[in-house]
Amino acid sequence: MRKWSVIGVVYVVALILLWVYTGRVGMENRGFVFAGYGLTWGALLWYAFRLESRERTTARAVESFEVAGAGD
Amino acid sequence: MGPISAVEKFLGILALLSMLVGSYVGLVVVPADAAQGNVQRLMYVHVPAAWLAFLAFFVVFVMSVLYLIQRDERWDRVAASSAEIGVVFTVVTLLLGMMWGKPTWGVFWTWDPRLTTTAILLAIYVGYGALRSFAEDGEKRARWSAIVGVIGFANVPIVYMSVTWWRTLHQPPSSPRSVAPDILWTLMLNLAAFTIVYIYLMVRRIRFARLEGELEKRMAYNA
Repeated sequence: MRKWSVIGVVYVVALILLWVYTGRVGMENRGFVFAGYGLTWGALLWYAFRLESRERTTARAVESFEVAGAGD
Repeated sequence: MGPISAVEKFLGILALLSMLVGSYVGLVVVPADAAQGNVQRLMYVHVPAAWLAFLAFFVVFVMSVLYLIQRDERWDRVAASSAEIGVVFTVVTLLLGMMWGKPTWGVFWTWDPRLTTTAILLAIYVGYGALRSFAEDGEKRARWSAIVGVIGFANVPIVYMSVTWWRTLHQPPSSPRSVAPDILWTLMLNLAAFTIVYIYLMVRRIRFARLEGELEKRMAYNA
């Protein structure tokens, strides 16, 4: 989970940098460019995070069967 | 959860770095498009996301055919994994298209052939996922979803050809001869980055699918 906290912080920092950069160069339609890139990174990171969390939950369930089996 | 292999870790880091480099080049290094200005920079994520969605659904198609021939559950696992990742890429494609559409066409959404066929594509593979969650019997689930995986793929060439077959707001497909070298190599760089992300997610998703299968078997055994 610590890994995802770090990735989350890096993501937010990257968004701030992107917003500052697009403002400094006076990019027209910066809101759309910002939203587009932010959304792409966010969606892929969110999916990778969800995948890991689903995997962890399922692994725990499999382990619980192993423990129950060992107790029989 | 099984141990994450060194290859998987390497792929994850490579995926993250390649996305960062691809985005940096697309946002900072390559000059703005002469006609559309900076909003054209969305192309460097919109087009690779669409191509990867097509690739993901092609993998679903091939794996579904293999499953129907061999009835091997490994092919079903790969197909299910690729379909889920394809849905993520299709959602990203549609949302990026809306971000690009508003400043260039004046609307976020219009019932244009390319947009409509892409929305149908999304509905097909969301339906594929829903079908998998409804069917309780593993063999039936795999067979039904393989059939949807084969039939559903028919929409992919329709999406691709929609800008040629019908009059549409969407620009026609780009080719190396129709785009500037700067745009082309930035696009290729981002396509490579998205492909690495796809491979990484596939490795993780297939591992998870194996685990799901394991849990299902244990639950059936204990029932």
